[in-house]
Amino acid sequence: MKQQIKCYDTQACIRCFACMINCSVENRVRLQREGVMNVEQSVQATMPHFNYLTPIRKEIGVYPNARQVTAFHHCNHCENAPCQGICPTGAITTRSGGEVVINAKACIGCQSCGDACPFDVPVYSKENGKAYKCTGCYDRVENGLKQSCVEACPTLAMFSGNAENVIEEAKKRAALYTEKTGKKYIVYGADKLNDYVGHLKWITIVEETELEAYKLDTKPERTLMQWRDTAKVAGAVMTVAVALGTTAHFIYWLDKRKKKIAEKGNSHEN
Amino acid sequence: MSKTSRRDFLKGAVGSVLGGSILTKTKAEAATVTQVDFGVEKKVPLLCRMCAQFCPMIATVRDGRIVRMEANMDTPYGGICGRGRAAMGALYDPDRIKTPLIRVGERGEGKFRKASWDEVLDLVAGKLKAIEAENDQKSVAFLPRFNSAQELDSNFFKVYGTPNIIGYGDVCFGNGLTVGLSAVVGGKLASGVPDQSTGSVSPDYENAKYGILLQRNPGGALVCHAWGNMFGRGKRNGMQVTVVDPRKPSEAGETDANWVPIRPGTDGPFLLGLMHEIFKNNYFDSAYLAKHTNSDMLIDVKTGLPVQTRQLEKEVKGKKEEILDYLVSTEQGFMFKSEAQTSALFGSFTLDIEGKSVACKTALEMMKEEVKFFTPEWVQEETSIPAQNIIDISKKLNDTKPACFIERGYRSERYASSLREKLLITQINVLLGAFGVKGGVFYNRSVKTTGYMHAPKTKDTSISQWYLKNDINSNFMSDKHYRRTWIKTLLSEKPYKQRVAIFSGQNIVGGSAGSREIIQGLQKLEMIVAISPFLNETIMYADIVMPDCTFMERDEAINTSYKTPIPTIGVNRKAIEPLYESKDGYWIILQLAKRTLKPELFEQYFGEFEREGMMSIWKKQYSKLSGLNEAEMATIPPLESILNGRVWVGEKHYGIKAKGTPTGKIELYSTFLANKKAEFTEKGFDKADYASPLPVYNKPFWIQQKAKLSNNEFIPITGFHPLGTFTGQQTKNNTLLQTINEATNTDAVFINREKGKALKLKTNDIVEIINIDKPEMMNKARVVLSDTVHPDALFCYYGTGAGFYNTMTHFLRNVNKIGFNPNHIANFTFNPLTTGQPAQDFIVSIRKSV
Repeated sequence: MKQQIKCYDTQACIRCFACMINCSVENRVRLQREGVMNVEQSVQATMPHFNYLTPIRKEIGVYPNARQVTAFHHCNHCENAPCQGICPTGAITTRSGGEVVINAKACIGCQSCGDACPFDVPVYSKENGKAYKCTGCYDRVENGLKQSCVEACPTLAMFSGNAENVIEEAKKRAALYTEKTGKKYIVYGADKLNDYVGHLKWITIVEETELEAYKLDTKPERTLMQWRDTAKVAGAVMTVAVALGTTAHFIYWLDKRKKKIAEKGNSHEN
Repeated sequence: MSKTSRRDFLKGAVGSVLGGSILTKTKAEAATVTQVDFGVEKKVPLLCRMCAQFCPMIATVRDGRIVRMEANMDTPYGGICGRGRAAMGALYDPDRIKTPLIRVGERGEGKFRKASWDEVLDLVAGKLKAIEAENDQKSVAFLPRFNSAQELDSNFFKVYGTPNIIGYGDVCFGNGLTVGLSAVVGGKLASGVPDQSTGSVSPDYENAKYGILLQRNPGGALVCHAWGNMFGRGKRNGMQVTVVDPRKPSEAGETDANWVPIRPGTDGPFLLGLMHEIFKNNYFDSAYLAKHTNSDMLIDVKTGLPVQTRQLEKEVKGKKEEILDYLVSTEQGFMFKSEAQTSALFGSFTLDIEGKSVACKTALEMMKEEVKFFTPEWVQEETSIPAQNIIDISKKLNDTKPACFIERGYRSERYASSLREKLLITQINVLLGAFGVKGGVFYNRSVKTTGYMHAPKTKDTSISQWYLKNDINSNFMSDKHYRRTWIKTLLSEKPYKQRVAIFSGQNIVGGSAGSREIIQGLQKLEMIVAISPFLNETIMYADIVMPDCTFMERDEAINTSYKTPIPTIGVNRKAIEPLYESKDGYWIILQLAKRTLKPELFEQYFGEFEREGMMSIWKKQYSKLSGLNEAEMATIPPLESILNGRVWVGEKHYGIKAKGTPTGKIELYSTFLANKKAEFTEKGFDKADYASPLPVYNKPFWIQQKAKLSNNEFIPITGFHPLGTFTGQQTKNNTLLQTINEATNTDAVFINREKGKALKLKTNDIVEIINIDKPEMMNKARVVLSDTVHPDALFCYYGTGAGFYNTMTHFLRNVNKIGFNPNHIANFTFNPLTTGQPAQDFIVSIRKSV
């Protein structure tokens, strides 16, 4: 299967949130498909961990030269997915279409992926003890359907397909916006950002000086120091687990991590 | 690609934890889903009613449940918004009305007991029959909304004999938007008032180079099919926008949308300033004005009426039409327009008419002189918009014309001056030569189906007819949309008493300004019946509640009313059986008809429907379509194809034309208004100026009351949230929307940061909001300090409040516990002439809640 990439166009977007709603809906469809719960039960619970795409809103400037900016927070399906690299149980894999997916069944909730992710993407559900993030709708894509966020967009501000085609369209749009507005529009993620993440599979058309406002990190990285501890512990734990000696320590460590995360709470800006 | 069965995949997952090596991690692939998993789904065509716009969509049904919604892409404007995508949240809302209910507590308490359908239907039919026996059918009012039984419901009440089928439009577009457009471009007369419907024109976003968004932004006030879709195309084509709004909406664009904050209620002065610049710098399109408008009409300076006119019979497309011919000035002297080759657009003249000399000017000259006063500096004073901005915006309009537009607006009834603003918008679009052309503002086209039945004329005339005739202040009101005027009738019993109200989907208490007076009016009724799938503020006052099903659970009549440039035919089909004990509106109306009407009358009007069901309506509707050209007619598919979900679409046409003005021209100078103004002046009506055909400044109520606000005072303004409902409860209690609603502060009121700081307020403080005219009325809300709000404005999303006295929090688990709905504390006042509601035209003060 060819590598799929998505593009988000900040200029064509009308901030209607259809993409975000549809994402959380599709995740409920999956629950019904997997026999976890029916849709009428699932729509009665907010389940924020199933919003794989969320808005981070922020005001910039001072009245009257002020505006609100809505950054889209989402998984970039990195080529060198650091979350996959660090996952101690191998629960994270990259599908043939390029989607980086957490297998919830194999996830032990250690949240190492969250530490490694430079975009703060994986969300830990205290309820389920698992990490969640965008699956790239690999189930839909592998069956010839568009990702649910892309399918939802009424203004084609989100589109997806083969990398070459998507990047070509994105660059065409950026050039047109540059010409019409006199400001320089670029395609964030069209080129490889660095070795830590490699190529992104979610690119964004954005005005050059707005990268920070839209939280588009041009040097996405987690230093070794930030995650070496986790790796060591995870390694040790795995050894112990393999030996089937003391799972107690493993459980203790897991528990400690969960508490730590609980204290961190929800750090999203509004 | 590896195909792993679920069983294997589960094994793998376990193995990876217990048996995995630290060096080579066992892969734990996520489950692979095959076509089969998607294949068992059923697709059903729907027309979305998560708001009121009928966007074509497709429901996916799996195991008897609707699991997702998609846009129906048969139309080039296909698209549905987040509300439509969340329709399952409304459908499976656990707080839906599940059974028929009968009130047991006081009205307003919301205490009901369960009842059977037979019991409630008999109660209502019994009351209707008793009233009929007294020959007092006019005392029954039916108030339908989009989620009722089209083609059947209103007709039943007409057959029963009441003339009072009352629309909600006076709290939305009625009648400022209607008259502000139709006075200039024409419209079929409705009880003497030109009445071109609110969705009849669109800005050509996709081809425009530049547009001014005011009174509406197409992203927030989302009509996805087609306006939201067209707006997105415009953005992709590089359309530039200036947003003139007291609050900066993200939906209009974040990086490039040029925001010009404006003092609430002063769109009039802003538009007058644009017109001033357009005349001063000759930015108008002379050729367009000469060819298509009555700009050259000679006007008697004293009366404002055309100096001389005559009726002329003219053949238009084989039909004879009466045209108002008027005097113009030409190089050969004065003559009638029909005989003139070219005529003067500007000039002042003296005419001898029957021995008297009459001073007159061309219409355009009159307008030019009228706007001389409205300099950019004056505009700055009134609107707080820097004078230079007015100059720049006008220039940009000129540079891009005719591929430019001023947004036509939406939900117009907000200020006493609303009609005037709409009129100015239409006039400026015409002055720029942008009306009817590519990139400007153009007429939508539509197709009409055949009506299912022709109900007999009722013996009594409606309440609206009485007001149109007897109340000069209601002279421009809609004869169909008058629910707040109906409340006046409840209170005054003029022209006659009202005894029974049947609300089908309308929420008059939550959705109209002046909830307290509205409740006082409702309390006088002998019986209040509500038909609705969801609880709302009005239902708290109902005596009898009938659970309507949602649009997803019923077949409906074919629909052709869309806000699209192209004629469109679609139908809503039942995706699942009605949940709980809810019934579809057609069944409810049929049962009421059967129990109320005499058998022969029932047979005459409803017999066929009872036997053949929806098919009888569809067949009749589809038997003759009108409004299409031959080429389009040739592509009309068989009815079956429409019923199977195909959305048929026709062609888009540009075209500069009037639609039924007296002169047959686009009347930049409206003869309808000129006549009315003269009539009102003669009668000594103090608001005669609100009917002026000229660009004059009519102030909103609040500025008349108080030119400058105190430091704790604000004008309560509202805007639509793209996920918020403006028509019902479909989104209010919807769990699927909760996460995004919370992330976007839908419960809050937003005030200017500096002004808030001066009041010692911080974000998340709770404030009490009080109408200064009704200090006993108070709403509480969480405040958010923002730099994207004008200091005079208190902004909140429309319809997000917790209900009158926060009652709804007891019945709907997800509604905001506190929140502001300006309607609840608003004044029960009326816009001059149109009777629209001045929804935002009052002053509130705020204080920190302790």
